[in-house]
Amino acid sequence: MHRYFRVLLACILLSFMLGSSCSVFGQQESDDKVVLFPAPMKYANWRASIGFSLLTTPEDITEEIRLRVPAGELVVLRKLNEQFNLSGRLTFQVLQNHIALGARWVHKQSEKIYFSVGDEMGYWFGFLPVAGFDSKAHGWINYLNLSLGVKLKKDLWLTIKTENSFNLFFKATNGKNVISSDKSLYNGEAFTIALEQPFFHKKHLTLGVTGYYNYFHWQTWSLFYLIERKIFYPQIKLGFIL
Amino acid sequence: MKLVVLVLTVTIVWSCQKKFDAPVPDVSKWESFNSPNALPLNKTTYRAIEGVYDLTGATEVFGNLTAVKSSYAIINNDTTWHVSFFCAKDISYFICEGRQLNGDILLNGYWRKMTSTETGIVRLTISAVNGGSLLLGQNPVITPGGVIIKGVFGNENEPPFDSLLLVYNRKLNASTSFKILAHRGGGRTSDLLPASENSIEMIERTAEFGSTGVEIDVRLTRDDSLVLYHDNNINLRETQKSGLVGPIENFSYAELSNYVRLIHGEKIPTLREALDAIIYQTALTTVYLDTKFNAPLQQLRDIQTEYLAKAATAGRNVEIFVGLPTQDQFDQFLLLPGYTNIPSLCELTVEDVRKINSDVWAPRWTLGTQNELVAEMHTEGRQVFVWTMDVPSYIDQYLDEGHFDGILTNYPSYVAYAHYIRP
Repeated sequence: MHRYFRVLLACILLSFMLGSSCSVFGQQESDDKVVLFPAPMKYANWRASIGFSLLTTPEDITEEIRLRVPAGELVVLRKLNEQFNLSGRLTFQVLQNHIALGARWVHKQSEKIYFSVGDEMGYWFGFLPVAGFDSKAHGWINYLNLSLGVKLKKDLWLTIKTENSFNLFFKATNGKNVISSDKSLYNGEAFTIALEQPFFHKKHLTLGVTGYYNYFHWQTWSLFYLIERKIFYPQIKLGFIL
Repeated sequence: MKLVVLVLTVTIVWSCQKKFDAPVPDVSKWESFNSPNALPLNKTTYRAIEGVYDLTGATEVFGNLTAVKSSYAIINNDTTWHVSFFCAKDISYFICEGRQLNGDILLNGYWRKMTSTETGIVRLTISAVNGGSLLLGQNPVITPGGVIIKGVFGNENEPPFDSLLLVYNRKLNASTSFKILAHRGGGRTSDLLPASENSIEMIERTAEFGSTGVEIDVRLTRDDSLVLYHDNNINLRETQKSGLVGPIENFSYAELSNYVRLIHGEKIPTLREALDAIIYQTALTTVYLDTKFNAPLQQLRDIQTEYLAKAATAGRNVEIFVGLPTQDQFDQFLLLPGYTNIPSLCELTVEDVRKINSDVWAPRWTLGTQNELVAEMHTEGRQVFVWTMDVPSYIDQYLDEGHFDGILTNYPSYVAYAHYIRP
C-alpha cells in the first residue's frame, strides 16, 4: 500500500477513536457543547466534532472554473486543565490531507465574553498519480490563532477566530524533479466566523465560514500555480459535535 | 479584552484584500535617453545585441544568466524595436528600447517578475569602448566578453540605483525552429500584464515576452462573427463592468463591440483583426486557433485560407492551425470538405491526428514527454506542441528530455530563457 495511504488511514482511525472516546469521557453535561468557542473545559476531558468543509478555489488560479473542494474535518480538544487544552485538527481528502496539533489557553472574561490564544503545528501531504506522473508534496505550517467568543444565548455561541500561518517547509516533486521549495515564510491570515448551537435534541453543530488570505493554500498545491501573492480562498465548515 | 478586540481588528484591517496590479513603470525620465542627440538604433544593432550574457551584481534578484533577444512590432506604420532580457529567477525579464548617443548605446525600459507584482525601471548602457562601437558598426561580430552592459535598476517608479553588469558570453541557441507559443495571445489576465488576454494590444506585445507564436481562443457570436475570448461567459475576470452577462454566443458582435471592454479597456477583437495584427504588425510565425465553439467550422476554415494567402502575399511565413481541443470540434472538422488537407492542430490521440492528417499533435503536458509517440509523429512529418507548461523545472526537464517542436505557455519569457541558453 502507498506510504501516504497508510499514514492517512492511521490518522483517520486515530481520529475516530479519539472522537468516539469523547462520548465516553465527556458525559458531564455542564460544559458548553462547543469546540470552536473558547470556553473553559470544566468537566469534560475531551471534546470533538466531525464534519466537512468546502473550499472554493479562487479566480486567480482556476479562473472561470470555480471548484468546490470538499474535505472531511475532525476537531479534537483534550483538557489539560480548565483553561489550558490540547487541540487537534484532521482534514482529509485522500489525495491531500492535513493534520495539526497544538494547544490553546482560554479565558472567561465575563458571562458573555470569552477568548483564547493558541498555536498549532500542521503537516500536510498530497500525491497526484495522474497519467504516468508521480507528483507528491508535503509541508509544515505553523498556525498562531486568537479567538473571541460571544455567548449570544444559553445555547448559541458565536466565535470569531483569526489565524496567522507560517510556511515552515514546502516541497513538491515529480519523480526526482523538485518543483518548488521556497515558499515565503509568512503565509497569511484566516478569519472564521462560526456559530455553535443545538441541532436535534442534544446534538450540537458548528456552522462556520472561513476566509483564507494566503500566499499558499495546501489544498491547491496540485494546481501548479506560481503566483506569489496573497489569494482569497473562502470556505464553509459544518461540524457535528460528538 | 480590549487587547483581543484590538488584535482582531488590526489583523482584519491589515489583511483586507488589495487589488493587485503590476503597472509598467514610467520610463520617460532618463535625460540622456531623451536627449535630442540620442538617435534610434537600427535593426542590425538590435539583432547584434542578442546573445547569452553573464549577469553579475544583481544575481539574487534576476539570476546569473540572461538570454537577450530583440523583437519588433509595427504599430501605426511605425516599427518599434525592443530588446528583451529573459532571466530565470522568479521568471523575470527586462524590456527595453534602445538609442545611441555619442557612440554609446542606451537601453531604457522596465523589469518585471512574473511570479509576483515586483517591477521597476532599468537603465542600461553599452559604452563605445565596451562594445557600443562594435554593435553600431556595419557587420558586428561579437566574441565572449566583447560586449559589456552596465546599468542600474530600481523598484516601481523610484529612480534606479542598484547596479548590474552583463557580459556577453555566447550566441543564443541556434535552433530557431522551436516554437514558443504564448497562451491567450500573450498571457492571462491573472498574470497582470499591461494588456488584456486575447487582445490586439497583447498580440502586438507578445514577442517582447519571448513568443514566436500565439494561441488565441475563438468563439462565435450570436450573429456568427468569430471573436477572441476565452471564458464561456462575459465576466469580471476578463472584462470591465458592462451590464452584459451570459455566454458570448448570446450577443451580437455589435453588442459586444459597443458595450463590452476587456479588463484593460480594449475591445473584444474579431478573429480577422487578430490575424491582421499577427501578419502585418508582428514577426510571429505560428497561430494556434483554439476553437472554443461547437458549430460548423466552415467560416473558420475560410478565414484561415484567406489569411494564409495574405501572409504569403506579404512575404510572411506564418502557420495558422485550426485547433481541435475536443471531440465536438473534431467531429465538426470531419464535416469540412477536404479536411485532410486543412492545416490543423489536434489535441486528441495520435490516431485522431492521423485520421484527419493534422499537421500538429498537441498533447497536454501532464501526459509526459511521450518520446516514442513524438518520434512517430516526426517520422510522419508532423510537429508536436505540448500545452500548457508553466513550471520552470518542468520546462527545463521537457527541453532536456523531450523532443517537442514547441511549448505553449503562460510564461513565454521563461521558455525563451530556457531554450535560448541551451548550447
